[in-house]
Amino acid sequence: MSLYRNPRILLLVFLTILALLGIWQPWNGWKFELRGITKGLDLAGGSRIIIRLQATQATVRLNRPIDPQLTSVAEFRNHLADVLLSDVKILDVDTTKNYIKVEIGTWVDENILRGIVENFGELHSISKGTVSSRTMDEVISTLLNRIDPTGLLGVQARPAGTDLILFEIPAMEPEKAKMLIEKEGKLEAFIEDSLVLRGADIEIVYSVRVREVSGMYQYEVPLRISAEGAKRFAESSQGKAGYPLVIYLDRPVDALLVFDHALIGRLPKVGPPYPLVTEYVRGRRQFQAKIDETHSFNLLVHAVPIDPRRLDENDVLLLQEFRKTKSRCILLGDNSTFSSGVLEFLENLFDNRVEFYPQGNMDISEWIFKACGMQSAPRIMESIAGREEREVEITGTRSTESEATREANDLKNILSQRLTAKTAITSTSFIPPRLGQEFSEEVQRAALAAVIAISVVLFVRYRDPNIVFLILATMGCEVVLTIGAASAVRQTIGMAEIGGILAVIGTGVEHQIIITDEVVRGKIQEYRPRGIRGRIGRAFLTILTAALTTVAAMIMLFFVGFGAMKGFAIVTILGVLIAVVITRPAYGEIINEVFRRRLERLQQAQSSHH
Amino acid sequence: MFLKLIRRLGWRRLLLPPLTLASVSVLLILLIGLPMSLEFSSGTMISYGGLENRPDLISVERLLRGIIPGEIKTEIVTDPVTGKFGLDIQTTVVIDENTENQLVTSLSSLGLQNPSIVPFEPALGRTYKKQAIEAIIIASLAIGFCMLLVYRKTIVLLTVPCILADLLFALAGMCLTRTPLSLASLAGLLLLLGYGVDTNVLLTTYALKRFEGEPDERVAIAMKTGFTITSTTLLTMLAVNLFVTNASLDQLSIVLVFGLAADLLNTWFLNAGILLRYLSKKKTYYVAL
Repeated sequence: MSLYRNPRILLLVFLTILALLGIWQPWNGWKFELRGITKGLDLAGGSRIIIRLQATQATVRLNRPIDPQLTSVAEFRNHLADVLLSDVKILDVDTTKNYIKVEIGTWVDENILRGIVENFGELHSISKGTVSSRTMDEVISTLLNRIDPTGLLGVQARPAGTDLILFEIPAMEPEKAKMLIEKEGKLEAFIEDSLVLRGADIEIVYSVRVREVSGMYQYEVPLRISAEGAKRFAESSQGKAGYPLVIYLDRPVDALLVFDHALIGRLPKVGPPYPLVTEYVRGRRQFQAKIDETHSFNLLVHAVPIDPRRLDENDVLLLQEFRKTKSRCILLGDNSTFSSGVLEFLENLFDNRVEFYPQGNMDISEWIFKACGMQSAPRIMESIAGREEREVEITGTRSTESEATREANDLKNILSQRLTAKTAITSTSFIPPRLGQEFSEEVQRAALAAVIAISVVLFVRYRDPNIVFLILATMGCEVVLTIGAASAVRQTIGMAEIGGILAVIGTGVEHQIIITDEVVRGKIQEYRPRGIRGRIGRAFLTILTAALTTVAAMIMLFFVGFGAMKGFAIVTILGVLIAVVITRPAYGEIINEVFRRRLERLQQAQSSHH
Repeated sequence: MFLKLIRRLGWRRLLLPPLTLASVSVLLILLIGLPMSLEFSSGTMISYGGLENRPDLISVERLLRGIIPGEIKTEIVTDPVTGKFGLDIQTTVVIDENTENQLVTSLSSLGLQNPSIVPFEPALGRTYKKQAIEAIIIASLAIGFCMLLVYRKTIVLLTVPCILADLLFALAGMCLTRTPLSLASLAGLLLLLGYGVDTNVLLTTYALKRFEGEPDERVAIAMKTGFTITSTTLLTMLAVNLFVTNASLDQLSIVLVFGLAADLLNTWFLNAGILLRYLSKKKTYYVAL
């Protein structure tokens, strides 16, 4: 069969052209450019973003002696977490001196903290510029997950100073990078006012499922929680099937919600749709919401109703009382809702830290939920209530498929965001490509040097320019195919990936030499003589074993390794797979044809000689 | 030629040069120590912001060379909001207060004022150091498992240390040439893993899966192919190293030049010696019927 009709060779040529078109994208301009490739930081530049973690570390001397079971420590920690409504870590416990060092995932004023710990002991020292390495690592891994969930982008993150993290994000505009980082939030989930899950407890959120159940659409968000979280969940959800699990993101715990008292009269009493904010509970100074006729929950953000035109004496006293624990104020509405006198008073009281939260086109419930950071309140299923299980599912039911899917995906996004400390971006800048134009010239020179070096070795070994050409041409196809495949899976091409491409070129040439050697050789007598095709088949045993081994090693590297290693592994796996499935068989066909013709010529010469 | 070499040396003497090389490598790494690049080392970042004009990198770098030891990376960045320029300087050593003052004074002569100076930790440090070691161990296990699966003889597990010996000499070469461990040289080390697998599989296939001729004859044939393979890559990398001045490509090629040179010994002397010894102890005869 002619080489031009051989399916293996046609496949190689066809795919190579396809890959070339994908990389070039001539429909976006005729000039040859590598348009299809996402270039890495070294090649295309990117963003550098520095974020500051806002945590407070404090040392407290407890009044009660610390018992060996550390129950007093746990009590103290829970108290802090409850009052500050924030993540609290125990960093150090000194049982001899009764000292305990804690880290709070937000900035707290010294006087406020002093008041909070009063009943437990004495505040010994407080510092705001330092963050423990555990928190730093937690935040880094969360943010990496959000900016670069697949690890294909090759983002670099490094702790800097005592409370900073420096991110370098390739091929991304600073604005977009900033948006992704700021999308982050602090996650909390409550059952009846007790905090059962924190962001750090959620280990993995799996893909969501939506299915039809008797005319309605039920969504499921499966997730894995930490052992500690599972235990807390089991304790708190005992006998609470049907109760809501209230999930907050960035609950404004340091803020006081202030609203027009007329709003209370406008609250809806019954649904559907649920959840709804139905009441304001004066005793708790919190809103209450319902998820159905029977089950309700409190919105755990302190809120105070006032007369928006004029503050009376009671209002003033109440606000002043709250100022002791709250550092800012959120006003439900805009500056037309409240009179200038009221605004002035609040500005003075809260040191100008007053923000508006206008209603926009939200309904009242949604408005209040959003202002409190309440994201979702799914019902606890009977099957998981009170059970200590780490693999759990959050489910909900909606009337249409699209609504269920949207809600499930929102929930998934919220749950995957888990920051244990507050963050603030301190600087963003654009980094120009490090390697740039000069580098691409260097790469071209390196490629030329490589081609010459390979040609020389191959010519010395085989003394046949045809074979040299064939090996080089096949290698060229393989490079194009690998880069095409890498850009098809949206892999960023940076330094490590160039290494992967070199690996593909290297092993490609190696395998072609193995095939060629097997065909041209014949020094020792085989115990079973074979034709050219048989020899190629034998060469494939070596090649397949080598490919299998390399792929296995690279898969391990992909799962265990980090950024740069992942990129290298992906490119190498793609290259080796392409090699085994497409290029190697095609090269086998070509070399088979070349030697068959040579053999025929030899036989013709011999017969004519006779 | 290869057959003569193998027959003259015998498996015992085949083992000697690679084992010596491996011990020398360990000594070199321990004595000299591996230099670290920016990605792997801690250092200091000095940033200037809000500059009206593009700072002149060349004069900045010239100034810094005299003050700061180790690798320095300077970058001009732009503020996406104001469009003003900034200058970020990263060092691979954490600079002390004296150097800091000296540096700030010298740079102010270039019109650069009020820097923010923060020490940073390695991007690939701490959590990743453990991961990197895990990755290498698990990758080695995977290689061993695949070899075992294909050849069904425990002797092939010794391939793994033979491949790791390549990495060892590459690391020693990096110490000697003061090539820092960077993303580029890490890529080189990983590449070496792949190349090492290829040559060792070639050897093992010929030694254990083929039956014609004597074992040393088969190894000699594989060796010829193997030397062609490795010298192709070796020469390529040498050419890259000589013709290219880019630091990343330079680092990558240095790692491979050393590693592949070691691979010649580790595959065709060390692993071949081991396999030949195994085959000589366990003579099997196959008869063609």
